[in-house]
Amino acid sequence: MIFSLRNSFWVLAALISFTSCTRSESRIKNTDPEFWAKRAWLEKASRAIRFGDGVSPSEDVDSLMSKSKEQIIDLFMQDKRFIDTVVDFNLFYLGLKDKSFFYTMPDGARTYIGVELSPHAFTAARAVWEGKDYFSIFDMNQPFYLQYGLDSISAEKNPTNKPEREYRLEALNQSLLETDSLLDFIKSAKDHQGADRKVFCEEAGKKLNSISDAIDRSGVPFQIRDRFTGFGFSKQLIFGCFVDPSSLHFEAILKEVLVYKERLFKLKDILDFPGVVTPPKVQNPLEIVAIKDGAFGIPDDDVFFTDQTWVLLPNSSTNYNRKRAAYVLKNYFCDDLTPINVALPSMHTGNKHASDPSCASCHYKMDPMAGFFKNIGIIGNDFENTNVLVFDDGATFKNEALNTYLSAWLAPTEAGRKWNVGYIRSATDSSRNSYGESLRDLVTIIKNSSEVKQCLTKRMTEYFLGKDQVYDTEWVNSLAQRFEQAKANPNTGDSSQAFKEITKSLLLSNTFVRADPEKNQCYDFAPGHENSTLPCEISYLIKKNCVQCHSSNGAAGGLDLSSWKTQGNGETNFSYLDAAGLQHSKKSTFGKLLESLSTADESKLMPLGMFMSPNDRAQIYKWVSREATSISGGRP
Amino acid sequence: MRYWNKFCASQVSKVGRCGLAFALLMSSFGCSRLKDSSEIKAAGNRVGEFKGIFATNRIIVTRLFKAGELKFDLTRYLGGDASLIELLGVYSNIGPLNDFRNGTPNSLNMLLWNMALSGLSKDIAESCGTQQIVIEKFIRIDYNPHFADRLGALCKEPVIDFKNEESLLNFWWAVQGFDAPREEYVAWRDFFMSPQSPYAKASSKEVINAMLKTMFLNPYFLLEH
Repeated sequence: MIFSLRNSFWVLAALISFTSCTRSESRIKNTDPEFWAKRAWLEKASRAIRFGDGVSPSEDVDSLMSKSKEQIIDLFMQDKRFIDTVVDFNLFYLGLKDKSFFYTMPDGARTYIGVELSPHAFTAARAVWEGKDYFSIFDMNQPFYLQYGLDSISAEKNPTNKPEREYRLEALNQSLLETDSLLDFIKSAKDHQGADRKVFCEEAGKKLNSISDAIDRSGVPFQIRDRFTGFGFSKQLIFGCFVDPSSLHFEAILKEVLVYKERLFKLKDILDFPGVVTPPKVQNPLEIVAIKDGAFGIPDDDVFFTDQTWVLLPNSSTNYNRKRAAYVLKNYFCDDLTPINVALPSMHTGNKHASDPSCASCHYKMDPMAGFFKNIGIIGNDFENTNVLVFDDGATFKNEALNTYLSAWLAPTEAGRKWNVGYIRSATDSSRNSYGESLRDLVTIIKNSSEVKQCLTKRMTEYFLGKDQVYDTEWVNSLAQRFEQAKANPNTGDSSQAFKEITKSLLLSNTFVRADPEKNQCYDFAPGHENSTLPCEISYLIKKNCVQCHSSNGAAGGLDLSSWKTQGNGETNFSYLDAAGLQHSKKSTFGKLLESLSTADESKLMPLGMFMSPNDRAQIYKWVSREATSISGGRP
Repeated sequence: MRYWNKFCASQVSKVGRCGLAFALLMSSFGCSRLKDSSEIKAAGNRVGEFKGIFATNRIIVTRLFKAGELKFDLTRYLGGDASLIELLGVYSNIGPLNDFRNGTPNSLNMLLWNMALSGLSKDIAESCGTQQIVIEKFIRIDYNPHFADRLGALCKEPVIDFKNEESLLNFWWAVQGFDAPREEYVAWRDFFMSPQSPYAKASSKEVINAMLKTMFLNPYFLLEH
């Protein structure tokens, strides 16, 4: 009886279950793991490509789900929100990602404040959408993105109710008159060199403010005014007065103000520029009005950083631009300046701090990189061909002090070049390095460097898959190959295609699918990857740089770096045998590895007689250090 | 801005720092474990950190409200103090460049998340029978039809149909999406559908409030994974 009842119950339950399933599609989906997995991927991919927006309830999810993942990615990349994602990534890559790069007005229009931080990020994002050159992210010649129209003229400002254009024009003409007045004043001061410079500065300051007030009355916003008339017009005057009135050079000031007056005159044309008179309502970066190629007869400014970025990276009379150098190394070259002792050529050694092997570990790369900024002073002003340099901390170098400062970058006479300025890969072999003098040279180095392409790809990996997750370097470098190929065709838009293809590869990767990945585990490998027992973080680098000499076929010094396994003493370690054929302890093995990777003695530095890139060395060194620290119970 | 004054203007503001050092385990119940806090710290990457206030706000808007909705701001539930967003996981380029700050759960930011998401859950529950949420008595925001439909299906007495989980499943999908694995849903469903559940005899508003709160505070909803 009980048996019969029990059977009836299950039959009934099965029937109910069957009829319910036919009634409800969601019930079928509910129990289908493949449905849950693909739907989860769809949501994540949507957020990754469409700037944080998941799949909206109003979208045809069934249609999306019927497509392949590749098709879905292609479709999402045709959504304009993808441009915001590329801008966001670009800012992340440049180290400038903030809370938001735009704010939204109640009517939905956006103001992209990020253009004032990095127009490069926007130019490159537009390039991806338009099939142009993504590597424009490195260009110094950037358009001016017009974010602001003319300020409105209140009745209080314009009590006689003049026609608006006439009122604005009058105000601009007034600013020209005020500029003439400033010119006359400076000429008169020039003729009276003995004049009290403090009094001069006070009066000049008042006249500058009068010019500024007149432009403000015209309603031309200061962002436009500064870009097209140049904030630096009165650099000599402002810096001289604020920092060191005795350094005022009236001839130079006059020259600057005359250029300024000419630009101010041309600025009047902006009153008839449609994008300024009636600024469009912008909802994505494509719609921002870009002014370029000598608009208003004013030559384009070179933009390596904007004013806002220079302020984030101040220099001082003691740091000698090293903060800026560290920024470039970290963000463009993925070199976080891991302090590893370095072998130095004997001619450079002395008693200076930077010549000590442990200090040189950073300085040999950082100081030459800092040299690209040697003439750049406060808020990014270029002081080349002047006899003064004003730093962000207010300190001023001139004459002898300036010469001493600049001599820090003079190359030794036998080097065959004037400056020791460049991207340094080797402290002992200058043929591996890329030298230059100016920021333009730095841009060329950045554009042509393989390290930069690999770094860019690494940052894409971190952005789309997760920061600090371990990735197989060979896999990342194989993706970066796409950027390398694009380098050869700068005008074809191939770099933008490369950006999209790499993004697609990342979203199709095992790491992306993996919920809650283990940090120390790699989930993706390059095509043709050979399985290895080594930790994936360094297996490729060890194979590339070490295994040639340290393998099971020829373990130089008794050390075999091709195999990572539990040794006879129970420790997971490389095979490292002493003269008697006994396995060294892990502590001893890793102590030896640390020493061999970071000795300042070139005759002992591994790989012996061969070059290993600084980034490879740093990555292996960091892993070895971590392992060594874990053996010693957390003590370094 | 005047030239003379521009030179003097300080452009760098300081960011407040959260000095609290201990993490709080996420408070949702009946859910499988993502990772315990020590593992999250050992990993050291963004996995296990908050998605952040901006990303979370965006997810809520997409799932709950009409397309293009701009009025919804989760920080309204924090007393209108905009500076508190700094504590809820944000990128900042001030100081060491490009840093995601306050992404690791700790007692203070979990308190803030709890305040914000409890307030939101309560307001949604209170909106039963309407098509819009009312925040602070005067901000009215329309739901998208999909969510309004899913919510409406639960706004009845009794809220739990012990023979049919479909409305519960659809509500889960509408709010939680597919961020969490199915096991999370099953644990959540079983808790509310159990006759022993403390909500078995509660009013629909009480149940919906609890359902939403447990979904919003689920680690898969709040954290990167």
